[in-house]
Amino acid sequence: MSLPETLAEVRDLSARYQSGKADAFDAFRNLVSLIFHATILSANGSVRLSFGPGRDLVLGGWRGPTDPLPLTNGTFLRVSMMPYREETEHGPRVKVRSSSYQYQLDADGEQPVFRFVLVYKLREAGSVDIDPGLGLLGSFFVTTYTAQIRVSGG
Amino acid sequence: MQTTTYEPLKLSRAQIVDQLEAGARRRLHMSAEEFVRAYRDGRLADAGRVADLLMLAHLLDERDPLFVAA
Repeated sequence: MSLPETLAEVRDLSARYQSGKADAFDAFRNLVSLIFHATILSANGSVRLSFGPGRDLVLGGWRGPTDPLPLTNGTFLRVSMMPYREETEHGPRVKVRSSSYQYQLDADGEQPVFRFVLVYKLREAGSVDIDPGLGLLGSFFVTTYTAQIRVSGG
Repeated sequence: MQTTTYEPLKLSRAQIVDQLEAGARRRLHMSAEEFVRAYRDGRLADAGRVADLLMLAHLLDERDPLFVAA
């Protein structure tokens, strides 16, 4: 795929996921996949949406949220993102509640290098509080208007 | 590039609980129930280390017996 074609694909997928319509989650997954494959992801790796009996979706590895992605240099990136649809004054929008990235030397994660956790929005009070939110706020974090960010060494 | 052809992964409750059980025992030396309870009680020293397991738990229904037990 040429650069202009890639950029056109990125624009199209961005517009589709931002629209919040029926195929928004697939577009989000495809956009992440496109960017990862164009940069760091091994040709035999792929991201995938997982779902279960609950209402949430998680974007992670091919075999689920805990499956790390193989990278081109032989290392791994464990990625978990939780997209959700939110009604706004401009119509439905797909947003990400929280995401976690761990760069690691091995598939099992026994040799982590660094971790990057973003918590954009904590789940509303009253439901099951298992968001990787407040409990993550440990040694170092930065709070912005919309996001809480924590980076830690392995 | 693998950007257009794929199927989302559907995980049953049993598959999710099995993965939680295996992951929590291997990485934290505790059961899935103990893992959820420890997180909810704020007793996980570095929850970011197991953020993927926490997101996996999110795939369960919020009324799941695992949460009720915890």
